[in-house]
Amino acid sequence: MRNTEFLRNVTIGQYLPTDSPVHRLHPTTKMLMGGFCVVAAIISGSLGGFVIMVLAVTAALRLARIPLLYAYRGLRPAVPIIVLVAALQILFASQSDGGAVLWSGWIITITAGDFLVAATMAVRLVVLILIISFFTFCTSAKELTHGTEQLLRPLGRIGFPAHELALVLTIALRFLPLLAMEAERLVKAQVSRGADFGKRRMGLFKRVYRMFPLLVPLFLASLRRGEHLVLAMEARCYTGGKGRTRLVRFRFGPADGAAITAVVLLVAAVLAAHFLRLDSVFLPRLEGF
Amino acid sequence: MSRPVIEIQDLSHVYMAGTPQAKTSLREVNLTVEEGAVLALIGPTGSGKSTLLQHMNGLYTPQSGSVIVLGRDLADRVTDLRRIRREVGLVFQNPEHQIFERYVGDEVAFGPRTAGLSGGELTRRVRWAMELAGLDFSLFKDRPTFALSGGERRKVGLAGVIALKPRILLLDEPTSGLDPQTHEELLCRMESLRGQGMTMVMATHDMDDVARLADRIVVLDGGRVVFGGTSREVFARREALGAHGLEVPVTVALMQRLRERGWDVPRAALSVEEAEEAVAAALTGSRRRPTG
Repeated sequence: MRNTEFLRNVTIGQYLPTDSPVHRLHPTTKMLMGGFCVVAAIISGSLGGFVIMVLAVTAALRLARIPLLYAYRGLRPAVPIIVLVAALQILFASQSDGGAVLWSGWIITITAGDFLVAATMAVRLVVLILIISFFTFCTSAKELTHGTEQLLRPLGRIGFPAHELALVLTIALRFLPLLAMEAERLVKAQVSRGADFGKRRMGLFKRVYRMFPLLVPLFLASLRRGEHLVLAMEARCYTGGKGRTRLVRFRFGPADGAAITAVVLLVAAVLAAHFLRLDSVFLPRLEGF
Repeated sequence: MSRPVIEIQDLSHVYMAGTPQAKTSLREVNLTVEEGAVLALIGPTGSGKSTLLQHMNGLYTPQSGSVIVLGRDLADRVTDLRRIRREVGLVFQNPEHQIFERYVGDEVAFGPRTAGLSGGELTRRVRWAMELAGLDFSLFKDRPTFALSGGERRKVGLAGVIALKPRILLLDEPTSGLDPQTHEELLCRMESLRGQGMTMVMATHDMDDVARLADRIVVLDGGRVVFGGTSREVFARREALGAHGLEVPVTVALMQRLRERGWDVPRAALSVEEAEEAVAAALTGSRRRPTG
């Protein structure tokens, strides 16, 4: 275990206050933007659309004054999953309209279409990760609560616990980096007293067992932190969302309108690329067509 | 006695390198720790004390500069860092938070057991470590860890590291947040470890602890070594310490107050006994200058 600095690679969930025009948008706007993009990325199955989205997010990152390399580093932990998904897709899921058959044998048939679908899946995951990290880069926990609450407020009339849900969400997100920090500290502390967190060759059971010195204190620390939080909230007379006023009020401005319009246009482009099947240009000689 | 066991040269470190939160935590640090010596690292919060300690047992490998511990270069890829970490024990701040076993004995035995000890040898090692940390072996070995007081848990944390039989002990704020009695007890334990020739490096905010235990002091601020020297030399520079937000021990402050009033006493007294002698000498000699 040479590198004990965990947090360097956990970029999702980090708030980066650069005070850019993007950061100053209304929280509800940011949430709607993020939500639209995520939904579009899930519905659409168009490689071209995703490429447009990656470019759009990159442009937005520049606008938000967030270092691109830092944002892309957040993809690193997801690389194994992306590669695995893509490989499975190529090997096993056969496309009926997959175009030229490149190789066939046993239960495996590889077509040109498989590569297209695999690439699409991979880029879709990249897009999703980028969107979500971008959203957390420029939305503070406070804004997130505010936005969630505002978006869910209509549901509150029919007894939906909008405020509580917003709070739970905020706390969960806020605790992630803290948990990573805690884990880093614990790993260091246990390694300093001779712990060995195992090698890859070891069996699963043994490896889990070796994680006990990390997991038990981490669990205890989380419970302790939760208890402290409860006490701190009660000490400040927290009684829930009813009748609560806000110190900072957000207002919708022209920038919000512009941002929403841009995102709607982007989503429209991505969905158009999907439903008009513009991707077929990538396939050399489709047999089904 | 004066063989260097830790040699640090031009060590710099950037925390979260390559991210927007990048922060330089050490800048061109040079220091040497000699065998059997007790070195105190003092400095305001965020001055790089903990980061420096973590470089001494290989939790960080040097980004630039060099760290040589017990004759082995930590930047060298072939250096076995696990062995270094066994020989250089680091007691983290609040070691009571890393407890995970159900019984005290098992908790203390974790390190040596992982290192391959078992049976009678393991028991002897645990007994030895617990007694050194101030925990009675027969009384505490079967106590559930959750039923301990804060001070006892701290001692268990200390014992868990001592059980590795390290040649160098690093301590990060070993006495912070303890009640006076446990604080005193822990200091006595550390004094007896020093008496047995244990090399120690401790990061602390408690200047009275430093006065009692340390041979040498290194003052850090903003990741830089601002100055250093023997405890007596460093504490004599009250103004310079004050400029970095640091205070001097009560006994030293007393001496300096007396000097300001014209009494002929030394600049620094490191213990109550020493201060007492100095005051008595000044009074009996009635060497008061006519300044008033």
